[in-house]
Amino acid sequence: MTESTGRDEKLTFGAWSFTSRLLAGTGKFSSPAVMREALRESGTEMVTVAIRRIDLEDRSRDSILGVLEEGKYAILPNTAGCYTAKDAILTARLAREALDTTLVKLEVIGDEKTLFPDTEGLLEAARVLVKDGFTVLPYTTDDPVLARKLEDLGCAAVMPLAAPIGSGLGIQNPINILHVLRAVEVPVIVDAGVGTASDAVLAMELGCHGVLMNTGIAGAKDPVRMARAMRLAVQAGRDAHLSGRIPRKFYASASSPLEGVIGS
Amino acid sequence: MKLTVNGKPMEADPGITVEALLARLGLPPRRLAVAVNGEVLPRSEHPAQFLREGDEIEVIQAVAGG
Repeated sequence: MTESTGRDEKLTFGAWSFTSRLLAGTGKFSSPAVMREALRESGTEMVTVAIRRIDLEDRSRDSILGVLEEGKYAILPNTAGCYTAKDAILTARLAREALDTTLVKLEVIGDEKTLFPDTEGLLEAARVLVKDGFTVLPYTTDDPVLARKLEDLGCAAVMPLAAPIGSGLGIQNPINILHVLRAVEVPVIVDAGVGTASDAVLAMELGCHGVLMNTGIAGAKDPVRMARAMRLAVQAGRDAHLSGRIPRKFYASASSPLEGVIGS
Repeated sequence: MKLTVNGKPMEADPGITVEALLARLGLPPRRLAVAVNGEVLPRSEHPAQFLREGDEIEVIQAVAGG
C-alpha cells in the first residue's frame, strides 16, 4: 500500500502472495458498479465468490466473473452454504474446474442461526482437499485447538470468525484470537463479524495477518467510503502491531520536560 | 431418457453428450463446471462423455458471495 512508510512482508497463502491484507467478499452489493468501485477503493487483491447452480430458467443472472475487472483480483471461491464435508468437497472441486484455481475458502456450516462451522466436517473436508492439492483457507471458530489441527492437516491459513457472519458485532473474544495466533504459524485471517473500521484495526493490532470482510463494506450506507475506511484501518492496525505499542500504565507520565517550568 | 439437471427433471435424447446438453441449454462451456453423479467432469471430457438414463448433472458458476 502506498500509505505504508515501512516495509512489510507479503501475506502468503501457498503459492499466492499479496501486498494488501484485506480480503473482500463480493456479496450483497447494491449494484455491480458499486461493488467494482468499493473493491477498487478497498485496495484488496483477493475477492471471494460463491459457487451456485446456474439457473436454467433465468439466464440473466450471469457469472460474477463477467462483473469483476478481469485479472485484477485473485479469485477465492468459497463453499458457503455447504452443511456437509461431502458437499463442500464437491463444491471446491467444481470451483477448481470453473475458475482454474486451487484456492478455496472452506466453509462447512453447522448451524443456521449462527452460521458457526461444523468443526468435524471442516476437518474432514480440509483433510481431503489438502491431499487433493488445494490451497485450503478454512473458516473456523476462534479455537486454538481446532486451528492447530487445521494447520497440521496442511491448511495454508486459518480464518477464525470474530463474530457471526454478517453480524457486525466486532471481535467478541480478542483473547481467543490471541490464543489462535499463538497456536499456529500459518497466517491468521479474521473472517466474519467485522462491522466497522475499529474492528479491523483491532484484528490487525492483535497480530492477525489479514481481515476478510463482506457485509461490513457492502452493507454500509456508503460502501465505497467504508471500503476506503477499511483499507486504511487494516493498514493502520498492521503498522501499529509492527510498531510495538507502549505498555499500559495506571498513572500519567508527562510528555513535556519537568524542569524549567516558570514560577518554579 | 430422463436426466436430472440442477435438481430438475429433464428429457434428453439417448446418447447425448455433456457438450451437446450444454449447447442445448445455451450454456457456453467457459466459466462453468459440470458434475455428473457427484463427480466433477473436466471440460476436456465434455465432448466424449455420454449421459445415461437417470444421470444427475450439476452445472455451476461463480456468483457474488462472501
